[in-house]
Amino acid sequence: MSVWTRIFGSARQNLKVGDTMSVAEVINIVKEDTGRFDVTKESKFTDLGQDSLEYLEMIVHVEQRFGITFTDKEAQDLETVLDLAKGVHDKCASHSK
Amino acid sequence: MRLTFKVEKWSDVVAEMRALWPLHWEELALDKDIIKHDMDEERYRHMESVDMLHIVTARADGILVGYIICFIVTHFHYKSSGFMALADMYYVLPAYRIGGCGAKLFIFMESSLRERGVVRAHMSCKVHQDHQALFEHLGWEFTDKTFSKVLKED
Repeated sequence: MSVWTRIFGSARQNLKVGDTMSVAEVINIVKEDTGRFDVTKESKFTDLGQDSLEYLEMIVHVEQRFGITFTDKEAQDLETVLDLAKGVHDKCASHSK
Repeated sequence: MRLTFKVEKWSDVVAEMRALWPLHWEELALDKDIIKHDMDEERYRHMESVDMLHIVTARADGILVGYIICFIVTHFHYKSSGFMALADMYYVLPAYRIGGCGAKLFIFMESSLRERGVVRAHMSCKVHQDHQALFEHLGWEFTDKTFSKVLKED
């Protein structure tokens, strides 16, 4: 079972082939932006030391990487890296429909 | 730590905000030797009673860690245009300037003002703590420069 399927279950079927790597890619973006190597999908943004501007820039980096856009409300509701990856998944899935 | 954001009433949150004001004043205020911190709580209560106060809070696991206070007015120049929000003050405890807390607080404020029917909001920041990049990232436009001068003579 892939990492993606373990996390998102049957929603996986809506993804494009390349999207199976998106959790890892989201984690990598967060690692690069925070300069931390201990980022996991369970990491909370409040534990990663980013200030507000750094947080928003990270969201933009994810948006640019995946060609998606988060609304302000969605950006407000993200608590963990997994939340961010789920957001990427949902938007990529809706794009592929 | 779980961050939550909500609209709160002055009367409900003032006791908790009092604990943050000295820190806020110490970090942000200018000319402290001349202009002393002295919140006119009665006036805030009045503003709330006439529905002209808007307070959004940030809480970490239920503990108050930040706030934005706006006055809700119809503008002297644009009376028929609807309600406008004028920033009174905002603050987030330094230890909680993480995880996008401040940005999320402003995003929440914006949506809560929109729900209240506010058509335009004005926000400002100190030169010595410049948040221009953050505001512009959130879609705010840099429109004004503010100047102040102490006129009191020794």
